[in-house]
Amino acid sequence: MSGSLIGTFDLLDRRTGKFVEAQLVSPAGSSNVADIDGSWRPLMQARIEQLRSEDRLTIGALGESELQDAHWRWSEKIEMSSNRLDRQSFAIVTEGATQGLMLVTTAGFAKESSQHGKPLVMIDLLATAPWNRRGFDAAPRFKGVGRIMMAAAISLSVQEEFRGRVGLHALPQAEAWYRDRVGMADLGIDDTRMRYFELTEDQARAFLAQ
Amino acid sequence: MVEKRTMTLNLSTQEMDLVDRLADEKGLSKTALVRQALRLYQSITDRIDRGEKVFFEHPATKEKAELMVLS
Repeated sequence: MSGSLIGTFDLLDRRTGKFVEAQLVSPAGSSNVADIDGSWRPLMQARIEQLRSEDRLTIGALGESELQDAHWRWSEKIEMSSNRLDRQSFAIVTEGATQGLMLVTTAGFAKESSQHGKPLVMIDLLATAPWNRRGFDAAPRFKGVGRIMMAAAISLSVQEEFRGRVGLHALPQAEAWYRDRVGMADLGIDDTRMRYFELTEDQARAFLAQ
Repeated sequence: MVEKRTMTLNLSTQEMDLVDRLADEKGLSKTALVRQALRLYQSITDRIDRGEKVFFEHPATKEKAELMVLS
């Protein structure tokens, strides 16, 4: 079952150069999980097996192919979030397929010095479909999934009176996007052994104005 | 749109002062603060119900203190 429609947004179809309408829904539902298990995972697993057969299965090679999230257990996470007040999931759907998923927590606290201790939205997981990734597909399909998800996280933050504050731990393959395209503050690698990024109110406003 | 319901909350002066102070510190309305507190309480009790322990860790000394929830 799919969630409620949050809004419709345009994604750029890189193959045609035209914009297509996509639906942002929340919470993500069984149809989105089925898409991941039935479409995303087989593609990712096949590429991983190819890397393994070529004896190139390293973290670096997974990053080049944008596969560092291949182990994420979406169905379990979405199921776990279904009865939790502090968890929300989002899905972007177009052409009958799930193009992106995001899982957030609304019970986190900021670490950046100007907003330390203030509540924020934590993005636990955010991914676009493998066929939308430049590193995975030489002719990637839709552009804009990450941007719509980030805008959704900021909107949720504003709705919850968190003033656009958002935090996340980034996979190495996504660090540059969060730092350079979204404009998040890079607070370095923490004890999770991942790089932690945070968006302040001003940075959130600047991102939405892009 | 999520359906909203209203309740009246009877708090002591000390409790209300704490609500006021925390709402001010966190930049939240009292309603948003209570919603946030409810989420955190559910998150903690869910973990404890699953048999997990909840710790606070000092960032420098790494000293851990277990959160005791009396039920």
